[in-house]
Amino acid sequence: MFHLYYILVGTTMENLTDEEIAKRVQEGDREIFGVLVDRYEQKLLRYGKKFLSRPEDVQDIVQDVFIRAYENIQSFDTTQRFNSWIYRIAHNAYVNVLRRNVYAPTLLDFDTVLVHFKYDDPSESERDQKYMRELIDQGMSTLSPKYREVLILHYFEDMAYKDIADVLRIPTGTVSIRLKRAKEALKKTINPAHL
Amino acid sequence: MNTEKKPFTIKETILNEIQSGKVAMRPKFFFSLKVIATAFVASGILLVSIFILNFILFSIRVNSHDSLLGFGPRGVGAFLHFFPWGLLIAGIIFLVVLERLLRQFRFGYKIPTLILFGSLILLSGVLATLLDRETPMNDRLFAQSRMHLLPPPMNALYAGARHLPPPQGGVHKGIVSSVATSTFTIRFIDEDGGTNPNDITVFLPSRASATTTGLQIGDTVLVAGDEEGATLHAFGMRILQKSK
Repeated sequence: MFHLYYILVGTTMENLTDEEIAKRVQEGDREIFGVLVDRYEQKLLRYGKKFLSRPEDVQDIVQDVFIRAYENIQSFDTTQRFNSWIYRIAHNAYVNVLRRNVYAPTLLDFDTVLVHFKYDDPSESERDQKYMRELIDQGMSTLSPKYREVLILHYFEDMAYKDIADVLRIPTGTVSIRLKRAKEALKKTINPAHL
Repeated sequence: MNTEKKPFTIKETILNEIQSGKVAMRPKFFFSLKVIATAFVASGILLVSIFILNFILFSIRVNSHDSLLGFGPRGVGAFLHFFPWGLLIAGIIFLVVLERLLRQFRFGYKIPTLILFGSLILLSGVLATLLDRETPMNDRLFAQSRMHLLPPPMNALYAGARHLPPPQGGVHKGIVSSVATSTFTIRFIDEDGGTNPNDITVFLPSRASATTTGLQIGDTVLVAGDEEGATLHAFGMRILQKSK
């Protein structure tokens, strides 16, 4: 019955934004949470597979992310972007996996200490984007998680600097400087002739 | 016929758990309570930081150690020696914790660490200065500590605020007992505010600016210099209070 209800109302949900759907979930419409799962499942799986060096458990992690999102849905401010909120939950889950294995975050991240002015690259064409994606895929394992995550969020998840800042909880200027440094690091380690 | 059961998808698993009640939404008041608790703790830490910085300023004032800064490089060295570094480190630790707490909020993580931390230091410093210089709080608590009227930790803190430099430490607060052309004698003020009956002769440095002009018997002075028995060769002297 639950699934039949979902199928019947599912088609009318397409016009609702993520934030509107989240608001309905907060108001008690539990079933509609499935629309958000539909919209974000593949995105979060892709994010996890690229971010983690051992992506075998990504399915379980993504399931946990959605469960955590549902449990904490009342903390979501519907005036903000749901996209950034759920990616933040996913980011925390993936970082916890890395911590258990290899990644030990520093107490003080020097990227966030100083003021960095936003460095935009408006001339980045679709061709450049495609080139960067290939470069990232090739050189992912050579990068630290700090640089890997900004590259994935920007080039694969198509997130703007502001949204990445909300996911990672860092200043927007820091996002821009990390992207710049990540691209430089990639270009140094990867021979473009191999692409 | 294939009777093998298809594994549930992520969506099916989640919706089933929601439907069965295995997974439930945390109520809104839980998060409101969390925000209030965080704000309360942050305010508490800010107040403690302000108090610590305020007490540092009071300690410098009550011992007149700020005068040492006008005594040249040796005076600055003496000031750094007597500075309550332990309290400053404690204050900085509290501000670091506060900065970390504030990063949980949107306005906190959008600001670079240096600016946020710098702003907290500036805010605490300004409020601490106002608290020490513009209110009688510290002086009243100090007076009460001398009568043991404060609770134990506060009493020990304020009672220990005024302290004499170590013997032969070279920095002394005293009352002028006689004045000559290039020397004068003082009687040291002890921790209880009384005076030591033994006079010490202070020799001023041989430079044009070092003079006993304006010095009167009964003036309270701070002198810093090298001690030799009952004499002190001063590198700095400042009148703290004129005789009445």
